[in-house]
Amino acid sequence: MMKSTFTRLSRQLTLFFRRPKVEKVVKVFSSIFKNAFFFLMMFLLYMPIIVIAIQSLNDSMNVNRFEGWTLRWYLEMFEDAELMVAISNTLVTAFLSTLIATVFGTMFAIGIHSLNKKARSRMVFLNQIPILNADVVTGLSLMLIFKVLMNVFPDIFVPFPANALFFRISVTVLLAHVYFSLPYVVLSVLPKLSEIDPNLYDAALDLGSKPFDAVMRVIVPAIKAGIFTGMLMAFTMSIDDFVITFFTSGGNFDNVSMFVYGKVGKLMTPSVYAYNTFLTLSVVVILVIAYVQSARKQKKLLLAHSTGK
Amino acid sequence: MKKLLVFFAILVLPSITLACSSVPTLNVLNWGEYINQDVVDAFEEEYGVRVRISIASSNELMEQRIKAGTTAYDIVVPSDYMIEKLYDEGYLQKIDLSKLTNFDEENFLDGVNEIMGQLLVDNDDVASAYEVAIPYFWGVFGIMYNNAIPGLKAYIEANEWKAVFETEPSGTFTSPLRVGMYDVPRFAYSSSMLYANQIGTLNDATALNTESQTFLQTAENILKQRTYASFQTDSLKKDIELGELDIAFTYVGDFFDTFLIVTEDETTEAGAIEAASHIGVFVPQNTIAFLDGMVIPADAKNVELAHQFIDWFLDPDNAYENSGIVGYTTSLQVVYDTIYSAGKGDIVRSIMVRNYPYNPEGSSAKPLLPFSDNFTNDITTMLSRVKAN
Amino acid sequence: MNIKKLGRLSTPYLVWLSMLVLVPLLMMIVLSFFRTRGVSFVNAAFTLENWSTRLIDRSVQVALMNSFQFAGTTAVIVFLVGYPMAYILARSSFANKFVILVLTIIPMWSNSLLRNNALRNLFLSQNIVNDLLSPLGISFAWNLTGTKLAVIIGLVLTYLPFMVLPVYTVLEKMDKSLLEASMDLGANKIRTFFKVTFPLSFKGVLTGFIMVFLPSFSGFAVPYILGKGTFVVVGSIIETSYNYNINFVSTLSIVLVAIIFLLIFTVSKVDKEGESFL
Repeated sequence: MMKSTFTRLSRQLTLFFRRPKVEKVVKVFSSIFKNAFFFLMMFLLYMPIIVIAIQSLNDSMNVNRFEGWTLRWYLEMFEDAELMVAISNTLVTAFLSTLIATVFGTMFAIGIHSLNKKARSRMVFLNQIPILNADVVTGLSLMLIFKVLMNVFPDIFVPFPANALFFRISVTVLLAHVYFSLPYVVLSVLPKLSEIDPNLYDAALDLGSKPFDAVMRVIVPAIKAGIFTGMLMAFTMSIDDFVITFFTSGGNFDNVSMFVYGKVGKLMTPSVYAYNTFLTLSVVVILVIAYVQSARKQKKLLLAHSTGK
Repeated sequence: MKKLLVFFAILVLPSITLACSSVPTLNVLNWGEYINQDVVDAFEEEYGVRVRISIASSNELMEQRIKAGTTAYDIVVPSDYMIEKLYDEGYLQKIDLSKLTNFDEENFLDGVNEIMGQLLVDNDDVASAYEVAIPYFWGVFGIMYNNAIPGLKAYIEANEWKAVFETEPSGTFTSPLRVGMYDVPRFAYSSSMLYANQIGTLNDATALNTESQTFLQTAENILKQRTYASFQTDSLKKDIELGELDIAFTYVGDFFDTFLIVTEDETTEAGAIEAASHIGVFVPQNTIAFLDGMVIPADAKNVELAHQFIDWFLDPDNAYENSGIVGYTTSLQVVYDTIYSAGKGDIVRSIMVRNYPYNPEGSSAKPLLPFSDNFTNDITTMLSRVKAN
Repeated sequence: MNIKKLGRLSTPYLVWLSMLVLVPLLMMIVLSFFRTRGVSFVNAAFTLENWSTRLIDRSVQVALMNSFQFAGTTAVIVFLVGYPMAYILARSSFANKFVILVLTIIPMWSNSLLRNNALRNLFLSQNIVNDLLSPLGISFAWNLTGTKLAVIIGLVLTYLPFMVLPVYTVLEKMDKSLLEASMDLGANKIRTFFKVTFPLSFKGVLTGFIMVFLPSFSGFAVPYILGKGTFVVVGSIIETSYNYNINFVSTLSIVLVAIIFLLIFTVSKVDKEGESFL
């Protein structure tokens, strides 16, 4: 008795929602709701960033009280030598490690893809471990290995050039960043490799191309999207890293995260917030420009189609 | 591809040119915000060198950095018990006092001399602790409180350590007190020993420096007597100032750091007192003393320059400037006198010294002595258990 | 034949990973059975305490429980929020969905300490947003800092992109004709979703779940900053003990790695075609 009432009700509901006018209203509402939800979530994601931006414009070193608007922290950013050094360390490490990880990661991914199933799954398994391991564990492990290596390379922890202020590189930190970035590149490139035609490479070789050229001109262009994604992930993981850099830095190579760690609680210059906001803003602006360009392209295509060109 | 190469060239070239300018660099390991950068800059100019300051937020971290051997620091600023521990284990070298033109034992406050007299007594090769460390800032631990709560000041003055470790009788205040404990296991252990002595469960004034499993259990029971709203370090003083915490066990110097911040824009005595009226500090009769000193690690690369750096901060003018940023008690008598009498026209700082327990001389405060690694580990586990409650 | 030669390109990577993943693991296994002074084996004493008494200690029990609570709750919330986000994005008609996807990652470029401290300060009664909004009559004083809720909010906001990314990738690649076929066969939108879309995207969900759960489980910074140091988690025990007891820290690290292996193993059993990222 209950079941038939229920099925009758649900059928009536379904029929009700299929009526054209109702369908239209539902569509509009759900579209509004979906967009609202999405943008609300994006806003929440950016909430901490917005707070940081406000802190960067706050005319006070006090993060808890708002005392007026100012742009001075953006200018003073360049006067804080310690902060500038930390920024230099962060960006140099991020760019270099991303570059190395992308180049080698792509190479390794191509290699892994060409292995037989058993060897491939073994490599993929090993590849996941740096990603999934806790940063503390990774940091500790790398520190242990580097300390052992210190017996062979006594200066391994010393950043070079030793007496320079900016553009220094720390070998241990760089190696550590490459270590945790490589797997992300491999992870992004591998799926794309399975999508391309396996015969393309052989065909290129048959046509007389050397192996290296074949790879560069046939395979790489086809997996460009994967390489780009991998590069993005590698950069993201590197630029914000704290724990692993903390463990593998000899003590004389602070990145921005360590700089903040040392100063949070004490009087930290709001110029850090300025740097952070500036970085975020620049990237968002670039993305917005890219989006607008895509929107224009899309409009052009739609127009072309509709006019039957 | 080409763009990448150009980018690389831009990256590498400046570093090559910078590397060619081999200016001696002094590596200093210090606490955060524990030095006036202007004074450091003046030193850099005077001697034509570069000073790189790395930050560690605890003695244990400093110890780890020195022992890791990955960076050769020229100057480190640890606290008393860590100085003793590092020297015992061979990580420090002696300071050549003849190279310090501004050094004279008489120049220091009596309280400093007292603490220094208790350091490194068991080391036969050390005649006086000054051979190993030059006092930088010192002070005691105390109770910082939110003065906006009526009756809190009187309550703390009457109860001393009980205010921190015991939940207040219900109804004493409109809402339960929010108490913060310093998140360094060593301090939590030693302060709970002081409480035990105050209320009479223990009658051992040296308990705070004794390694004993029984005391450890007592400390655990004491710490579990109440729920702490916060286990942090530097955030404690900030939260008190914000009114987020009511009582915190902290360095007394933390209070003065906060005092300097809230009175930053004040120029008159009345204005300063008003600006700082919402915070207060109390020093219990029995408390822990501490002294941070400049030491030279055994593997320092610029020993000569390190001596000059220490000497620089022994200069009364430089030390006075330094005290303008660091609220902790200065170690030099003449600097103390200048601040006290507003000798350089800074009335606000003189209030800090006159109205508040800036100089803990005469108190029966004891410095901490080193614990073994095993016991330190036990205390750390104990504190985790307390937090797990 | 020639493809096989390319396979040799991966050998250096095998060496690299073996050295940097397996060697430290072995070192930690050895360390866990001794009581050493730092990493040196001078005066080291063989002991089983790291696997017995220390592991059962109440602080470790509570730490494991808290970590599990935080990680599990975060993963569930991230799924409930992140899946719809990925779904909406994939089915939307934005001109450049990839750009929007990247926009979700950009917050991660901001220093995590800055972000977490910003949240911490935001959740205090006295905060700058409240200062800005109160003249307008809006109050923003939540007083959440120090609570488990604050920690979870922090974790969710930090790891949300890790769920959106894999789910979006899977949804985007999905064959739309399957959906059309399902609708043609008479299923309405809701049924299609539950019987076709969701099962096909399950692998992305699994990947996202693991990439959110694991860091939340072992993380130390977020619970410490947003919880005002009052919550013990596995990460905090490791963080505070590695100076004085690298042996027990090694034990905990091995436990963490064992959990990872377990998860990878479970996933590989569920996903035989190797389509998920694990």
